Amino acid sequence: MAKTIFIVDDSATMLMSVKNNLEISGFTVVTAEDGVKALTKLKGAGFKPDLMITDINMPNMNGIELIRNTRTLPAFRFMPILVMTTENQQVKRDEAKKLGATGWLVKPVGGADLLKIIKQVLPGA
Amino acid sequence: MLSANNSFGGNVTESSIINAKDPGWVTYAAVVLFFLCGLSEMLFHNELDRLLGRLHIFPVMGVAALIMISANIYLMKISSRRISALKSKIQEAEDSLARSGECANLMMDNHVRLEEVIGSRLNEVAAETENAGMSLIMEVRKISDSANTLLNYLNNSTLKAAGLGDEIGNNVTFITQIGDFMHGLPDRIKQIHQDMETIRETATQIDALENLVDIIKDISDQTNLLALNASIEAARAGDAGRGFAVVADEVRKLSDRSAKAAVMIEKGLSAAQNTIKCGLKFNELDESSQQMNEAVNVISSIHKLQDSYEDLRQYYKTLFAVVTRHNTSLASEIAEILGQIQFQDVVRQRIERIMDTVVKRDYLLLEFSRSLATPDIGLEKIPEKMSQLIEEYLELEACHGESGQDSNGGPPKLELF
Repeated sequence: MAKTIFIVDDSATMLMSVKNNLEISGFTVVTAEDGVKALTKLKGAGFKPDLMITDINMPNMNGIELIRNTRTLPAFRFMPILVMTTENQQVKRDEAKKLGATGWLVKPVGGADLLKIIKQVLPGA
Repeated sequence: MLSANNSFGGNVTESSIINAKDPGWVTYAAVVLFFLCGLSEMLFHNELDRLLGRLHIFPVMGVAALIMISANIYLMKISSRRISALKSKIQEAEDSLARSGECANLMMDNHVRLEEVIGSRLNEVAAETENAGMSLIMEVRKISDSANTLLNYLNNSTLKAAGLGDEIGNNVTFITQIGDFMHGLPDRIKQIHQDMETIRETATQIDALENLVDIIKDISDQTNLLALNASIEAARAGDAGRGFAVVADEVRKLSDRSAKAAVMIEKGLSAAQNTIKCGLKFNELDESSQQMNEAVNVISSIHKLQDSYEDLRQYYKTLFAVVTRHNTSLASEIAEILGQIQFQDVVRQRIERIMDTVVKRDYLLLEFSRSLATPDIGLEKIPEKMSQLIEEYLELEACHGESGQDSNGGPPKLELF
């Protein structure tokens, strides 16, 4: 069964490029435009993605807050979360790591590199 | 003291203008003349008396004093006029400065408007690049879908070709068996031909037996004639020839039986010849042989067809492998293109940071232009604020994108915790 990946980013091009790249590679992809919408979807019944990829700088709720809130949901305490952003500050990386992020990817991320990282995070994908 | 800031930032004073415009030569000349007169009195008293006769130094000094007073009065008048001129110039400078300030304010207002227009256009450009990026993603997705459709089609075709190939392979096996059987037919036909030849020779020999029947018939006819003659001679001999007549009668009967036997043999031979001639159709056998040879040729063609099919299947297999490899490569390249489209987002964010900084700079420039008109509102702090803005922008840029990464000793671009 295809793994489901949840992408959260306020950039439409970003969402579409990653979504298409992953769909071509056989993943099921669900998207959200900001942290609030993402959290609403995560709290929805029957939605249990295998991996979440989130941006940091987003309106309404940023990526750091999204990670913090996601980890409070029992169903997603151990779901892998990758941060994909233009930010490369060590301070923010440390903060994300402390909140339970799995990895940090600085945009732009090549298609092959992204798939490689996902296969590391999701063995058997 | 009157003072003002000129447009070059210098301090203009009344005395500096006097010193700059009037060297004070009249005063200097009067003082020098006064001292020269006194000095000549002290050093050359006698000589001067001699030279000037009745002239005395004091009247000269009085004249000099008068000249000095006149000169000073003249100088005061000049100074008064120049101070008036200076006040007028300072007023002009202040007016000019005020106009410059107003002009600068106006300029800054226009500059802010221009920046707003440029910012709006830059946002439009960002939106256009986003639309272009989205279109590109859609087109790339279509290419990917088409490539996958082609690959699936080729995959199905290969499976069908494989099934068809197995079926053809089985049929070819059967045909090959038939071919092998037919390939042995010429030997069998050759054997039949040899048998035919033997039978043909037998028929010739049977033909030869027809002469023997004629001979038997002749012998029978002659025997019958002899028996008849013997019967005549026996009758002529009377009783003496009676026994001979019995022999002659038996010979005649033997002759009749021989004739009948000859006829029976002739009929039998004729029937045998007809049977052989009707049974062995040599021409048809020849045609059948030719058909067999043609059948063998057909089998050879089938073998060639099988070889050609194998070549075709191998070519198809190679073609599929090549297309699959290229399709895999295409999928990888498509993934990279989709990854590179993320640059649009990176560029958009950089434009946003630049525009934020430009807006802040505009406010500083506006503040600066207003400070020119009214210097008391903190003109000196603006350069420092501008410098601070530069530092903030550079720091913000350093926190984003690829600067300060792997090669520069910064955090890695891709990191799993």
